[in-house]
Parts: sequence; structure tokens; C-alpha cells
Amino acid sequence: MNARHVWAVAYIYAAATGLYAQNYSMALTTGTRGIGIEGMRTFGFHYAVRAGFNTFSYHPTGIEGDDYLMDADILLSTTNLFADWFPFGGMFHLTAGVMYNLTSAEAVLTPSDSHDVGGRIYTPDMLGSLKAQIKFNRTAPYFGIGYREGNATGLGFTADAGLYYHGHPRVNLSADRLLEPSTEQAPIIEDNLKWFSFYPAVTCGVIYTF
Amino acid sequence: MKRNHAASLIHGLLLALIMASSGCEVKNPTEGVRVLFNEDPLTLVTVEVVDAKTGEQIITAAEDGVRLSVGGKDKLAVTDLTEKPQTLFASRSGFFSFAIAESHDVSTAEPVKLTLTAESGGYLSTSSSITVTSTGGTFTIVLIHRSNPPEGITSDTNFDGAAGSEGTITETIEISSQPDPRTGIESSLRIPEGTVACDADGEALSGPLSASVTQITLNTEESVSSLPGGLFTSVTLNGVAHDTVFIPAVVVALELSDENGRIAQTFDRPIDVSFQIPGDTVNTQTSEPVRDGGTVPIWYYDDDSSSWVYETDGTASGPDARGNFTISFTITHFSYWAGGWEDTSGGICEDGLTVRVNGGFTAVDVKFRKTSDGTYFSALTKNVSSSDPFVRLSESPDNIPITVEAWYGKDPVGSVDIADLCGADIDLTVFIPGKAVTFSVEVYDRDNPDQRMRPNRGIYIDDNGYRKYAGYMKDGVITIYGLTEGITYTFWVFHENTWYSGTHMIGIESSVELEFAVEP
Repeated sequence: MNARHVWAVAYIYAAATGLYAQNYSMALTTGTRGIGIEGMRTFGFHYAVRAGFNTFSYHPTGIEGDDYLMDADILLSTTNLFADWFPFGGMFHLTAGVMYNLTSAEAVLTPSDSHDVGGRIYTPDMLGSLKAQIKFNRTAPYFGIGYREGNATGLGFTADAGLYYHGHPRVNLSADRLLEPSTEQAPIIEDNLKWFSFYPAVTCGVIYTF
Repeated sequence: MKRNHAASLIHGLLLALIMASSGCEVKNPTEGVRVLFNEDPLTLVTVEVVDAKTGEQIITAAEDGVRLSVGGKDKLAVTDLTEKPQTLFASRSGFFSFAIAESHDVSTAEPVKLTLTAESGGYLSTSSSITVTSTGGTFTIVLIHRSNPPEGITSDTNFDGAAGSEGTITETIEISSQPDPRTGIESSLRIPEGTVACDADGEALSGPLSASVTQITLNTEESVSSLPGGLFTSVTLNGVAHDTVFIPAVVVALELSDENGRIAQTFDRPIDVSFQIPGDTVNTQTSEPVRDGGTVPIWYYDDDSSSWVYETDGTASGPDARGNFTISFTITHFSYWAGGWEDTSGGICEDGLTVRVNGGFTAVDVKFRKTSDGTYFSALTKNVSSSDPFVRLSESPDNIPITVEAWYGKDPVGSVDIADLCGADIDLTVFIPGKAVTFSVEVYDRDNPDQRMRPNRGIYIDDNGYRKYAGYMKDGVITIYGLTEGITYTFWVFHENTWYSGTHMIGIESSVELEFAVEP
């Protein structure tokens, strides 16, 4: 089953189910935006607004490349303000909104070996290190679909799948010692990352409706 | 109807999401990215050993045809370009490049002081004292070819001598230089029978011997440039060295060698030497002309200290038919020997002026010429780079009008006349005609083209058969002046005793990017 099939099944299941909306809910979620918390208010059977925050950080170190070691620092951090439309008045909804996006990534690459260039030995200490920082647009529009179970009160299940547009990644390179010229290549990396303008935001979690 | 519209919208949105998330070409973020690094900058010293007559680098077929030894108090700071300690170098191009160890602090306030001794077959060996600051530098040593000297220098060689197995010279060796065509003066050497000559290691010379006398009169530019130390140099009197103007009336270089290449340094008994000085020679300290029975100080050039050391007084006799006086004395070691006086008439100032070189240039030579007679203070020739465009003088001759000149290769590119070297700082404006082009250079290993180095090297270009120093490439970038559109130039870099070259035709552009692949 490929991705298109998954989307289609989710859509059909959601569309076939009708549910009843309540006034206030709180949800705990996890997914590609990290873990988060979200509050929601519904307006009748067809509309709702949500506000939430998701975050996650990851610090892998000592990653071995061909001839370098890499330490990375990845931060997922998004604050969302969404509007949901329940076209059938049930559990399935369409969502549009905006993210305040502080997601970033940083990697420090250090040569792991000495290099012999023209008879001179360049040690890792002589070469220095290269730091890459990747940042995105702070404001990111979001579109997606979702499913939310709801009862008059109590626990339910919630899931969202969508994309937010965080723009072309901006790359900042800095280096010390002899590797300093490598920083000129930030535009090349930015060009290589142009495809990564949309971030797939898939979350699921539990929701408590008051 | 409403429900149909909603369904269409949902279908359309889903389709857009799926296409957006899976339809783009995913590229590796590091695709096309290279590891770029600057060559570790060295305090680089380049030395050209040139022929006194042609002014061009001495090129030999033998790998060790030209030899350079580095001495002086800071010699342990010298390394090759791979940072291995080295003080003896050999070349067949007359060109040398070495570095000052990173562990050795070099600055303008605390420069490295070295003595360079150059030698090559058929040439008189000579030495020169250099001062290296943090920017390194380029230096030139002039060697005199015994059989093809420039005007103002005469020489002769005697191959008739011999020494027995005990090192005893079997028959008295007598030799005279060819007389100077202008003045008729000549110099002679007499090594008596029974003398034992030893080399620097104390080993006696043996077998067939060759003896030579080379006489340097300071009446041509080429001969002045061949004078060890130059006209403004160090002299040592009563064991104390000081900088001064030293214009000897005549200089002789004496050599004795055997078939094994051993060169005599010392003798077990005095050797007779005589040279002549022109009749119009004036004692610069008394302003009195030389006369029969008068004394003339005799000096020898000490390679280790790069200083003329006072040895004795010679007595003048004459004049002869051409009006010249003969000075006779004895020596027990070989070197350059000179007769003459310090010229202290103008005095010496402790803090000389500073020359600021401005205008469009990357590297020029700054020379100081006596305005009155055009002779150069060759020891004051400085190579100046645009990154440090100053010549800072100290212990300079006072009250001597000077013409300060800038040279780019063999081309004069600026000059200024000043009252002396002790006044206010001066500006020397350089103008190099032609086009200036900025080159950005990367060097990479053929097997690893994604790792690229930006060199820090001296760059030379061919200029009518002469390899001219164009300047120092810093982090792979250099601006070269004096180029002509439509001309293809060959650019040279010297590394580990080998020249590497690349060519480029100058077009309308003012900046060029070049890359060179080297064998792993």
C-alpha cells in the first residue's frame, strides 16, 4: 500500500462517520512535530479553532562520516493556531491555520583524520571545524485533514495529517581555522534543500472533551 | 449541491497534499558541496640565486647544481615547506623556498636573522645576511662566474698547482687576476711551496689544485651588486660590529680547491696577497688621497656574521705607470678581502625613515641608489608587498642624497629623490602599466576533487624569458599587475624543489577563477 492509498482510506473512513462537536477540549499529541498539547473550542457542529504547542529536541553526537565526525542538535518547535471545518458535522475535518515555527537544526562537522597535502600534514586541529545552522520561516501556513472522536464529555482519539510551508531552508555556515572558505557554499546547500519547503505534520493523540 | 462542492474540495485538497509531499525531487543536501580549506600559511622565504652578469637565475643540469646553506643565530628556525627542519638546500633552477617554523615567533619587532651562503660550480660562493619578518620575503643572492664575470670584475684561474699526499703544496703557486680594463689594477696571490692548505673540516687538500683570484672593482652596477653585504653593511672593528657605509677601493676573492672538491679555508703559514687600488682613491675618513707609504685598512668578509672584519693595515706603494698603488699583506685563511675605509663622513642615523609604497601593485622591489653616482646600496634592496607596503630603515647613512626606486621585475615603476635616508617618512608611488587581473585559485588531488585547497604561495610569471616575482598569493587569491589582453602567460609556483606551472590567456575580464589538479 503506497502513500496515496493510505490517504484515500483515511479520507473515506472519516467522511463516512458523523460525530457531535462540543465546546472545549484538550489534547495530548505526538507525531512528526514532536510531543504537544492543544486546546480547542468548537462553534456549533461545523467549526472549531485550536491552539497548541509541539516540541522535541535530539542531540546525536559522534556520528561518523567518510572522514569526519558530526555532532547535531535538532529542535522541533511549533506553535499552531488552526481552524477546523467539519463539512459533514462529524469526526472528519479540514484544517487551515498558521504555525509559529522555531524549528532549527545545527550540525558541527570535525575532520576525523589528518590529510597529507603536498607533503604537509594537516591535522584535524589545524583544519578546524565547520558548523551548519538551518532555519526556516517563522510563520508557516498549514493545510491538512483530521479526525477526532468526540463524546459529550470524556476521552477520545484525535489525528491530523497535513503540510505546513516553512519556505526554503536558510543555511548559515561558519568555520574556524583553515576550513573557513567552506562557508562560501551555504547557497549550494540551500539550493539542494529547496525541495524541503513543506514539512509533513502528522500527529495523533488523546483528547479530553469537557 | 453543497455537499458535492465540499466533496470536490476535499478530493482536490487531498490530491494537492499527496502531490506536494511526494512529487518533488529529493536532493542530498551535500550534493556538490566541497571541502574548501586554506593552505596553512607559512612564513615563507624565497631566495633567487642569480648570475652577476645576466641577472637571471642560475640554471644547471645537475640536481644539486646550486646549493644554499642557511646559517646565523636563528638557523634552527628554518624548515622546508613540509615543516621539516632543514638548513641545506639544493636546486637546479637557482631558486629556493623555505619556511620559518611555526613554533618560532616572527614579528617585525623580533625578526629572524639568517645568513645565506650560495654556491655553484664555476661560481664564487658568497653569503648574504637577511632579516625575515612575519610576512616572509624574497631575497636575491648574486654569484660571480669566474670565467664569465660582469664588467668591473676580472678573474683568472691557475690549474698548475698540486699537493702531495701529506697535503704539502709541491710548487709555489702564483696567479694574478686579469687587469681591470678601466683602471689597469690587478690582484695577485702567491702560495709558497711547502704550504699545507686545509678545508673547513681541517682536512688537507691533495692532488691537482686550482687557484683563482677574482677582483671586484666597484665601478659598475653589476659589480656593486656582487659585493658581499653591499655598500651599506656591517663592519667589525676591534671585535665590535656596527652598520656603516663601506665602499672598499677593491675587493678580491681567493679560492684554492683540489680535484675532490675540497676548498681551502686555512693555511699553516702566511700567504702573500697583493692588490692594487686606483691612484685617485681617497681615504674617506681623512679626505686625503692615497700616497706611497700610506696605510690602507684590510678587511675580510666573515660569512658567519655577514660582516667585514678588520684584519690589518696594508702599506701602499707606488704609483705605477698607470698611477695605481699596490697594497701587499699576508693572510692565513681564504675569504673575500677588501682594502678601504668606512665612509662615516655623513654619519649614521639610528632610526631611518620609512618608505610607504602606494599605488597599484602586489609586490615590488625597492632599491636605494646614491643620487650622485648612481651606485646602489644593494644590501638595502627590499621586496615590498601590498599587504605590508613599508620599508622601515634603521642605522642608515645620513647626508647622502638618495634616489629611492621601485622595480617590478626588470622594469622601473616609480622613484623619488630624497636628501638622505634619515629624514621624514616618504611616499613612493608605483605605477605598473597594463591590466590588473585578480586570480582565484584552487588546487585539488585528482583522486579527491571535492577537497580543495586555496594556496598561500609566491607566484611568478614569465616575462620575456625572465621569471618575475608577481607577488604572494594569499588564501588562493592574488592580483597580478602589468598584464596585457590577448597574451597567454605562464604562471609558476615553486614547491619542494619543483616548479609547477599553468597558463592563462588574459581576456577582458578582471577576475579569473582557476583550478589545478595535482597527482596524489
